[in-house]
Amino acid sequence: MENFYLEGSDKTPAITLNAESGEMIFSGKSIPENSANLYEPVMEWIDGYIQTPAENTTFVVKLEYFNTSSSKYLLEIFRRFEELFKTGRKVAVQWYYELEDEDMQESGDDFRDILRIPVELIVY
Amino acid sequence: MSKVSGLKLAESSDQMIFSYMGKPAHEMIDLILEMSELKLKDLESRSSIVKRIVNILIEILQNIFNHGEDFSVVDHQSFKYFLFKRDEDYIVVTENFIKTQDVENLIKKLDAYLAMTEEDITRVYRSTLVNGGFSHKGGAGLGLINIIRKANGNLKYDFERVDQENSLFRLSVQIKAD
Repeated sequence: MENFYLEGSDKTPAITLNAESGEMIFSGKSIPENSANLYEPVMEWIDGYIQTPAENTTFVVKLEYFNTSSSKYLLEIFRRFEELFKTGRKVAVQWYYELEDEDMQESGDDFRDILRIPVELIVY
Repeated sequence: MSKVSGLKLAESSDQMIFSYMGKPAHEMIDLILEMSELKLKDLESRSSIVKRIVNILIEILQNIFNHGEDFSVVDHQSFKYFLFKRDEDYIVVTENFIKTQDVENLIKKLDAYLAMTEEDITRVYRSTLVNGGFSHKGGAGLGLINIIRKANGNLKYDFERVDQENSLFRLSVQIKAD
């Protein structure tokens, strides 16, 4: 399957989804008013990916800001990987946050608490 | 913290950082956010404080523009936004119209969230994120909870009934810089 690339903007993240390596990277800002336009194509790609996933899937989140509607979509995306994890595949989330950025650290804690896949919090 | 009658917008010693008064329009969110962030970066050397304030601004402004449209009394100054510095703290004040019929429900929600401990609000945030579903306006009610959580409950509000259909909603959020 083809990889998914989306360039970032002032309000939307740069997204790279690599079907071969299993590395999914979200970086920048995710504060669109309409998150559905941004995330529905991503979900569609992921639904295809989990049919024939890579051996290891690593989800790298390095966001500066994200709004609440983006957090709903992030959770929906992680839920799909949870299903993959349940089938015995290796899945991990690497949640990056800047030193002293308590809000982003707190958000990483939220996902770690909610999800049943490993969520690693990494300071950069 | 409960409802404050006749909410005082600012103290005379407050330093105005940025203000906007005008018609509510989606395009204004970007401008207000961009200008506020630029001014904050000039004033505040701690990037973590700037980020916290901008995070709260994103939630407040998107909440207003997602929920505060289609009003019959919307005039040229129907939305107001002020960002102040008060000693080491920062204050965001907004004023916008909401439907009078929604006031009671909003008061109930705000008072319930404001009465919660930090642990309770975290629990409610997480359960709403998990169970809240997608609302057609996008946020599924998470925005309000998130604002209160990020501001550590330092939020005051006030309503003023304009007529049977429309009320003014004033919100003041204090972000402590310690």
